[in-house]
Amino acid sequence: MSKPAPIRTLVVTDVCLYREGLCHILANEPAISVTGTASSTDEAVARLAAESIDVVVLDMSCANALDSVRAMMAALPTAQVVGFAVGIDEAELVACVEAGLAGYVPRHATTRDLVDAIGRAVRGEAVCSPTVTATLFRRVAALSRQCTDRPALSEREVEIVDLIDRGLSNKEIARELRIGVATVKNHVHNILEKLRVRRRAEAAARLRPHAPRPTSQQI
Amino acid sequence: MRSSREGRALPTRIVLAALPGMLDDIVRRIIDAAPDFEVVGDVADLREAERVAGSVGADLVIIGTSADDPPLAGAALAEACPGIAIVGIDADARGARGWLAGRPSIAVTDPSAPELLALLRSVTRP
Repeated sequence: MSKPAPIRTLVVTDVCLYREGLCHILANEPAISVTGTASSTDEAVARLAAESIDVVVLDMSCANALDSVRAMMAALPTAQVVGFAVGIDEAELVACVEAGLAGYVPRHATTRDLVDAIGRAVRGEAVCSPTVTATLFRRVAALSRQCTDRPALSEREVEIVDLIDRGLSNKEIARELRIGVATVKNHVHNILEKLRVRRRAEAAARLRPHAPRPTSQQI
Repeated sequence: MRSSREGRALPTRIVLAALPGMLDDIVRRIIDAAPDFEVVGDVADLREAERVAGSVGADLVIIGTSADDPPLAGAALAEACPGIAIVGIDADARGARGWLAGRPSIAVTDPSAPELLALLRSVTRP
């Protein structure tokens, strides 16, 4: 069996000792190939755009670290970002996960823990303490409640909102769906009520692809 | 640097204390690569550092300091071990400072490995 290719890794931190030290320590790991270091988000994003990188190791104690994660994910969505020096505050951890971190190690972790987190990130795994796991469970449940608190639209109502979004009038929608104008008006009335909006355009905006679509299948 | 009976220069004996895991690994690697220093102890807290430094005859203790009030921990240890040089490194490694004979000496911001070694030498061989 052939050996897996080394994980191409970029180290990003504005702290000199960490930049030099992690670069040297990770370079001695057979499974990792350090492609370089960056001392700022801009520098890292430029490298991500120009090089083939699997994992970014990012110092989460840097200023605006969450913005850095988002910028790096946007520059190279296939790269996994692993944060180090992550605090133990629950809100901070959740924010890191929501920003797109694929893995993290806390402030007290060793370089061995970091190497492990890099390997896991590439394999699509992450290790969290039981406390962090419970925090993430609560967060997912809260997000799910936010979605299901909205009433579901029927398939027909979703279809009508799509036609509204394409700029069709009630009369045109009736013709398109081969139903009566009064029936369309009833549907529109129900849609506005369910989505708690007052205008057809607002309903359409709520159901655009980037917005959550509350259909009966999702509940 | 101390000398052996034959006049050979002996490496400076260092105890690492309360450094966060990753920083501990990094500092140890830097010291291991410098022939004039050797790590003779690695402890989790400052109270133990005081005890171990005395028992192994350390010349220098490198401590991890809190970002909240970095000078305090180093000053307390320097006072407790007046014959031993102390260097404190911030947990986030953005700064380091030395104490010699119980008094603060030099401070460095965002040190590189050579700058850290220079700081260690400056407090052990003034």
